[in-house]
Amino acid sequence: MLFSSLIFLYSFLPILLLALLVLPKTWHNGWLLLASLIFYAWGGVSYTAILILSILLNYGFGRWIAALGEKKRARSILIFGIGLNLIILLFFKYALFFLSQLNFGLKGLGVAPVALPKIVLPLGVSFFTFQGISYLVDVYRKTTAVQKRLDRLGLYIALFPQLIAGPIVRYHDLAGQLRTRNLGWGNIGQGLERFIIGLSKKVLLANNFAIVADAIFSAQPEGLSWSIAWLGVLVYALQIYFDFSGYSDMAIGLGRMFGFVIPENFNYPYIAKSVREFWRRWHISLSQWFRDYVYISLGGSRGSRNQTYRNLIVVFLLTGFWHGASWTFICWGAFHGMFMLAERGRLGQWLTTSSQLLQHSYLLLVIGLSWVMFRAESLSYAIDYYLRLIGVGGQGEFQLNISSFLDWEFRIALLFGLVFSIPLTSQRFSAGVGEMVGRLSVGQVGRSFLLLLLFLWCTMELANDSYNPFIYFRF
Amino acid sequence: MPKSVTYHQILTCLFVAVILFYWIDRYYGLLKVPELQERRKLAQKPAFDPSFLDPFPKKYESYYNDHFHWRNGLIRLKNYINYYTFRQSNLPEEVLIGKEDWLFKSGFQLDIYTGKFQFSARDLEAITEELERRKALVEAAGAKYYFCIPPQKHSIYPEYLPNTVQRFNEKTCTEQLIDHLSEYSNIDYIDLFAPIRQRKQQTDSLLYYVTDHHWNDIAAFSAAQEVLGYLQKDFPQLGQIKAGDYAFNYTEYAGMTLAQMLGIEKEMKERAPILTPLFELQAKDSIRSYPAPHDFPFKSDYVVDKRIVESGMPSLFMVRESFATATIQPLSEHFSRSFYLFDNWKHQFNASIFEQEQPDIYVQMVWEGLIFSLMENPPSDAKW
Repeated sequence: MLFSSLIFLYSFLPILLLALLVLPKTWHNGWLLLASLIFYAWGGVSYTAILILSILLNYGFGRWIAALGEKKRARSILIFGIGLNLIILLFFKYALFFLSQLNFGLKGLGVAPVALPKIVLPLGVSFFTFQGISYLVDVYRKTTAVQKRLDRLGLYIALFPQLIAGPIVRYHDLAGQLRTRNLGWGNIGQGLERFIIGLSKKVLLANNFAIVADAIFSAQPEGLSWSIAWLGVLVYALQIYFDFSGYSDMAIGLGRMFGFVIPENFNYPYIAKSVREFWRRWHISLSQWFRDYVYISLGGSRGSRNQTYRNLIVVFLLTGFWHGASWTFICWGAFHGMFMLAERGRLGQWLTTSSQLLQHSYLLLVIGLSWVMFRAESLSYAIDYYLRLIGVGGQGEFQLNISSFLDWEFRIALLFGLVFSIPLTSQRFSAGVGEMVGRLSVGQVGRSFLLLLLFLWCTMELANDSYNPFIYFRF
Repeated sequence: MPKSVTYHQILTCLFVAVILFYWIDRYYGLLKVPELQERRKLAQKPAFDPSFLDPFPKKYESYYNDHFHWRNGLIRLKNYINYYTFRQSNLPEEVLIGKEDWLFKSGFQLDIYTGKFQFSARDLEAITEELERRKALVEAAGAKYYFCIPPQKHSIYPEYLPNTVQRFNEKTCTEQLIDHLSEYSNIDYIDLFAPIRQRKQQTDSLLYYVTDHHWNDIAAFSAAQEVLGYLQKDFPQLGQIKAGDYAFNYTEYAGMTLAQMLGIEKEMKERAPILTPLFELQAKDSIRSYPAPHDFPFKSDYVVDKRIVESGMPSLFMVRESFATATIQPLSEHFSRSFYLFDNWKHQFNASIFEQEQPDIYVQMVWEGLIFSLMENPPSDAKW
């Protein structure tokens, strides 16, 4: 089930909230866990077994690690537990990729290829396995106490707002809230506001950008002029930001409605002045997870410069690979890692002495170019696309005509997208104009109605998605 | 800025009010539900089978979306906003809003016009071979075979297309095929493009509907004249369709198919010429019929069979589509029997019916927008 679906907005969420308001507090965790499992099952009933297996596995290993006083034995059990979590992830997400690479090698040797099994990627497997690992490591490091109640650990791993697309919540961030949290008007209202903002980002902005980005990135590279190729970069950069941050906003808002404080995941990444800063603003929960559980475990920056560089490259290759089982994602990770290393050297020194405009321009160029790799279906497509960006080629017989996509709706979305991707609106506008009118009851009512209007507008867009008329009757 | 509890209370109350109102409206029908001409069967509520639950959520969600109580109203609203605010189609892949509110079919039909879709040399050879095969079969039965293509609205009124529409190739796939047939085959091709364009120059009347993809009765009448004129080369006894024998009376309709797809049919009007004979028609409906395919939506139109009693004229067999509808009346007056088969947009030879009917003349009509149906394997995006 998607947050941006009619069934979620008009049935699932109201029923869930109503029950939370009616049920005694002691039932809340159980009810939320049940709702989370139904939410997950909606995207693949059979795969719910994997989620339940993950919960049971991490619960058992957590108790086992905690029961072992001796650090050395606990470490072995931790490695075993992490290994089992990774096996789930590797099997469902990466098995086909590895087998394809194997077949590529076998083909070179003239050996018959291995038959590729049919594996469907379970929803959110990358997120809930990382949360399971987070729990085991936190218990091992004694950052937090072991969770003795299965329903609470189950809720941590399966909590539906962040189950499908994050943020990746580290166990120690949520442990206390699994025991006690507040559910009241204030939280529901705040959560609702954040949820509607996220829904609007996804439905009104990202979905509009997706139409143009898909048209450009699904075209043959020969049919792309350099200007359309750059437009594709811009539009995809906005699409992925508003899609992902919109989902994170919805997750944070939903969590707040249920009394949870889910950590922030985005902080205007496109205003960063370096790749290093970008990663402190983009998918923050993933960066923190890799920092806490991989980078630090590898030694972080405590060793020699070369060891630090090695650790950084490993982290970024893994970050890329985490996003998808493809060479494009690995290269994307390597691309970012390369700039992270460069910024620790002369590039960083040059940047610090450069003007802010140059720093911003550098970041936008690097990130924009990296999104080409991220979005491309293959490395060869990405290379062709880069060539179009510098004006090489693109003289194919069929030039992509995107004029029909560049309608008013897109143009308005583009304007809002550019404005809302910088903190101008949230800090200056909200803190200035918003504060002026916010104190007034008229302003408050107006703001509420504006959010409600956005909610209804999103409903209209979602209802419109199912509109599929035919010229002639088709029964 | 910390927001007061009151603000959040207002927002929560408004949200609850909307959800509550939705459900009250759903059960008590407070708001009028506008109609939508979607022309498809909406998703049905799936059966709940606990032994195999995997497909259930997806099917149920389709059902939920199709039966969302405010769906029709919100789709209409979106259509209105797009149309009245931006003069923009809500279905850019289906319908294009051109200049002066002219509506055009977009999608693959636009690709045909712009020349984005082209036949390969192999396609052209294969289509030609197939048409030659049909011609041979018809001639073996002692009849004559003819082929014609009613033009798309885009081809006759390109000046009403939005400026954003650009040609990809000088020739359309239709022109490719016509040239290929002319050069490499003996198919009798009846050109309808030139006479319709010529008629456009000669008259102030429109030849196509503004809110539909079809030509109107004036263009259809000209096409019928052209077809009969061409057939006269081989069958001089057929005579001519005289313009003075018919008149056009105008009727005003609500917006037609393309406007209905955009959900703005009530807002758009169509002034349509209706072909009216000024003499008593001789050709009468026959009771002869054939079972229509189960998925063909216009069952009563599947076969139209007209006969003139004791006429010594040749007989006509036309495999047609909706573009031929307004040609039936004027054409039928010139044949002893005229049999029109609307073959579910398949454009096949229909050998068994042809053999039973044993006509003197076989006319294959394929609308330009469906020209791809002559291919054995049309591209996946070639749809209607």
